[in-house]
Amino acid sequence: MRDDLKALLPLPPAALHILLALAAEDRHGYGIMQEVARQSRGQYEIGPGTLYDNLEKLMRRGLVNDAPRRSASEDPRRRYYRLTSFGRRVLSADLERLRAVLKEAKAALPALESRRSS
Amino acid sequence: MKRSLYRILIALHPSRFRERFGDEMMCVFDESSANRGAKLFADGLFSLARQWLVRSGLWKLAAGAAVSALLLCAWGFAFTQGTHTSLEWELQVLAGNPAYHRASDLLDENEFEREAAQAVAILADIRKADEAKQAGAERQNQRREKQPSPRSNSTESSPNKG
Repeated sequence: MRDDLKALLPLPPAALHILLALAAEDRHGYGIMQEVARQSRGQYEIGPGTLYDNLEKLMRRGLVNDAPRRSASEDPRRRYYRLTSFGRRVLSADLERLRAVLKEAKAALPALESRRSS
Repeated sequence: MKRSLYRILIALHPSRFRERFGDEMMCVFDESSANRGAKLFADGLFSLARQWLVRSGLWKLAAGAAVSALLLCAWGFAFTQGTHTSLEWELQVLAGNPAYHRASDLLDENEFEREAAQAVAILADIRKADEAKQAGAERQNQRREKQPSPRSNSTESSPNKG
């Protein structure tokens, strides 16, 4: 299982944002798109084509699955998606990787700046 | 109008993707088309290309066809070039060889004939000398055979004396 997890890393940006959007709660497609835009402060937006292409891949790999509809009054075309426990582990591993990258970048930044100033 | 166009765009997707996500894509379009119509169309077009070329495995077919066409072209080119005689090709190779040019520059025809005649004369002299040497050796052998050796006579007479 650990090898499966490693094979999925690093996550592509769209997949990372979708998993992040589903981390807090189950969402439908449009909800995911809105959450991705909110998380990135509008800097990263995905369209339905990119979203569903990535969702299909994530579902096939067992990171996301279907979730039950919240209320019967909603648009019947809407479907909800949920992060699986495996998806949560993959997301955690990728965030850990990004944290290590950020740490390295922070350590390297003063050296770079001092080199620039000299 | 926009909606109909987007519906057509979705309808052009591979059936596997369209049946699974077509309605949802349409739903997203209905909810968000007011403020991002152009972006949605661009995304739909990219999605269409991606689904057909990458996800459906059509690229494998296209790549196979392209490789086959290239191989056919290469084979055809080689076949048309192969109708020239091999001699022509060999001459071309020879003409391209710098050693060939050096040799042809150094030796002209007359010079070559003179050198060759000298070489033949030297060979003939060597052969003559060899033949004379052989004939002399044979003559010496014949002479030795004709003359009886004195030592053999003394050995034959000694037992009689005793």
